[in-house]
Amino acid sequence: VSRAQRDDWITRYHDGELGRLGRWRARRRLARDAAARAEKQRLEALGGWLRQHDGTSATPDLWPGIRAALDAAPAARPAAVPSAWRPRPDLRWLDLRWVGGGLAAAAAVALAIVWTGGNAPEKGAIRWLDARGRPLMVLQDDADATIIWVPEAPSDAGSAEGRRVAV
Amino acid sequence: VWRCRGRGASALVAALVLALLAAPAALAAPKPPKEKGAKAGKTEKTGKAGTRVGLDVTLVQVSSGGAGGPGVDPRAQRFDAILGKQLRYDRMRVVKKLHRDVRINEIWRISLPTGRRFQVRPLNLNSSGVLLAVDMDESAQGDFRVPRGRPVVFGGSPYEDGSLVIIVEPDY
Repeated sequence: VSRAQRDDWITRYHDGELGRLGRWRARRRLARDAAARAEKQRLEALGGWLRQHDGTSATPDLWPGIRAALDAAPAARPAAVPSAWRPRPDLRWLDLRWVGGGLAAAAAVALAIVWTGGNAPEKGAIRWLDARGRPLMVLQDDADATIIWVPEAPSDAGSAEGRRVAV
Repeated sequence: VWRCRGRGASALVAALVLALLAAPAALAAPKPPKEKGAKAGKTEKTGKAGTRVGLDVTLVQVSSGGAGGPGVDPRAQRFDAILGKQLRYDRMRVVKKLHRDVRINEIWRISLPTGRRFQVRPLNLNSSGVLLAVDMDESAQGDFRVPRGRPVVFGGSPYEDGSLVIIVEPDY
């Protein structure tokens, strides 16, 4: 383990960023690595020193002067916009009944997807079909039946009339 | 692991136990089948080899014109309701009715009265139905996902004075 890596996990251990397993490993490493223990103590000392520091700043507080200047200049504020022209989003179209209905529909769709496992059943039965270069007609492929017609003679293929095939 | 002490060791042991318990469940989880191209040597492995699928195969002859008036064999009334919407014929009669419990991946070869051969092979079975690989001799082949009670109909071969229609229907 390089020194940079060691400093990194000591810092993360000190800052409480490690998980349970990481903390356990860190404790074991600290127990057998004197340099690591020294680094951890250095970090703790640095933290203590920072906590002792009072945090006061030598910068003067300018806020009272700024506030006084703002109060003294009301004319600089933008004129109040009449309420009819106020740029406010128009939400009148947002009918709560429609919103509720939409949410209910979305929930129903989500439930249906979960219920069916995300796989909508396919209506047709055909998954793969090869007529080996011959003419082939799929007359029907739905929830009732699948009908495949492979005409033997050319005259058969030409005798289709409307949707019904003449035999 | 046995030398570990404290909460970290407990968490590690718990994680290992959970992983061991979850592994068989993950392995047993069903995988979505790949259906396309199953005929081309990509046979599915999801069906259990011992599973049997009941298959009904009905050979029907439909014909038009010629001698004899129109009529439908009483045993073919249900198929007439299906085929009559798509095919124009005067007569329908049942030539042969077959049933067999076919194992997954077993090929059921049926000799047709036309002299040709019809082969059907269940590839797997799931909640959507049975995946059937069908081979019509020198005619067409395909894969079909067929639920119970929904027939798959193949026709077009000349037979006597009409055409032979093969109706395959799972009954499991």
